[in-house]
Amino acid sequence: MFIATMIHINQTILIYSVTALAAVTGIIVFRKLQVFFKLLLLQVVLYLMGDRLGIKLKPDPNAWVYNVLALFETLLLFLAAQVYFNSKRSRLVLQSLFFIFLIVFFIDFFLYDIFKIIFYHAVITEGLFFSAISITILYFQFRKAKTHLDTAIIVAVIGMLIYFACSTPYLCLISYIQKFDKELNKKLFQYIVVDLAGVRYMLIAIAFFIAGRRKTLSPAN
Amino acid sequence: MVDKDIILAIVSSTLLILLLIAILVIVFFISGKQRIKQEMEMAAAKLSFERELRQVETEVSEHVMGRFAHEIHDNIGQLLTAMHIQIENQKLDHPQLAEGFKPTEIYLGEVSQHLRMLSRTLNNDYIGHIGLLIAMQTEVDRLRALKRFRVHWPPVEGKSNLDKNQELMVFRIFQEITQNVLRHSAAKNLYIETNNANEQFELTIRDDGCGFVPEQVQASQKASGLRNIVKRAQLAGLECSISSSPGKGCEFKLKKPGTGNGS
Repeated sequence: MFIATMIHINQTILIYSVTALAAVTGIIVFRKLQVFFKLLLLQVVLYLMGDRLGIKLKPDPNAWVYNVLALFETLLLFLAAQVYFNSKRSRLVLQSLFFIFLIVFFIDFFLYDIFKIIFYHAVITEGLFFSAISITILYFQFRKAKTHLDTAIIVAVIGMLIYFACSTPYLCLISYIQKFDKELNKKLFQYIVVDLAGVRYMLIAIAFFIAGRRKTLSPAN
Repeated sequence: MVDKDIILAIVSSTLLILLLIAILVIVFFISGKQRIKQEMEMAAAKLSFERELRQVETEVSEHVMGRFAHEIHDNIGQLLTAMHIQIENQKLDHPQLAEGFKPTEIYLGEVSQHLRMLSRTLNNDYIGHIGLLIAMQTEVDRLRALKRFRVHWPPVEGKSNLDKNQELMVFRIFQEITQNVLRHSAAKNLYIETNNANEQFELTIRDDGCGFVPEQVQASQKASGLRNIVKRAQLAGLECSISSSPGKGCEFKLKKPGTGNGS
């Protein structure tokens, strides 16, 4: 029990350190960052603040914080993707995907209590969409990877792909596991979602660092 | 209690996805590298083709100019000499007309001299033989004789630090630039500077004419001369820069790579 608690505390410290590292790196190199990375930085800061608020609210119901956070996080990531894909058709596809996400989000909103239950259908939709978007970005990015900026985008997108794609199977069953074994669900959340988030923000921190090193600004795409 | 199989399924599917991502990234990385390599090879092939095309164009134009030079020297030059002999004969037969023939003789002499200079500047063998700096001096003399603008060129001695092909290219670029100044600039002064010390070579040609916007002119269909200058410089392996703005004249700089600003 003691070891489990220690692991949990260490993981929490780790995820906070990594997210804070990503935010601080982003803020340091902010002036050199492209719009794509600025939006990513905003998402990191938002996550850091939202998660802090969520923990502070405990033991009161705090699910609403994560639900609102998911909405804004998705909006920011879609905006970042829009900045990357500058063709009209891609923008239309992205806007349609965001619209579908909103529909799922509001279905969850009407079905469940926003204060008690995390809108996991919306979170799964977000995960699936961003996995597909990340793969598409990687496909284009590897075909032209020549500059620091290209490498930075690749690193950040790999981070997001690992997080969104790998957490989807667990998120699909989160409600089922929660119903039968709350303790196990907590552990799985910690070992899958939190650890993957750690990997994601670590890679984003590296991406900010690489993006900040380049000397001149060039268009993201 | 949650079935152990479900937990196993979650964990294994998460790991499987992680593995798939790794494979995907490796595949994208390899195919991306191959594509970049292929693009680079294609760009190199295109560049080499353009280089060869430009070389052929240059050889053809040099050949045509050589033919002109020989034609001027052998035919027109001979005809002018025959005219001169005819005048001399007329002067001997009719000594009272000698004064009247004087202006014709002077014009004939000038025409012969101009044609001789033109023939020399068109003849690449001659340029190769005398070297760039003397060929430029001949061209400057020809320009000075036209009296359209003042040419400022401090005399330079010795040989340029360029090979024969580069010398010929630089001379043709020099001719193209001076022709442009003559035709379009309405300049009053043309300044030519050469830095030829310590294995370096730098040629600066500046005028105080009407100037132009280089980007606009290069984008237009008419700017074949300007494009020729840039392409010839590339072919010769020289750096070429053009700076100009309306009302402020124009400056062309040709530089052997590795040549600094100072001497």
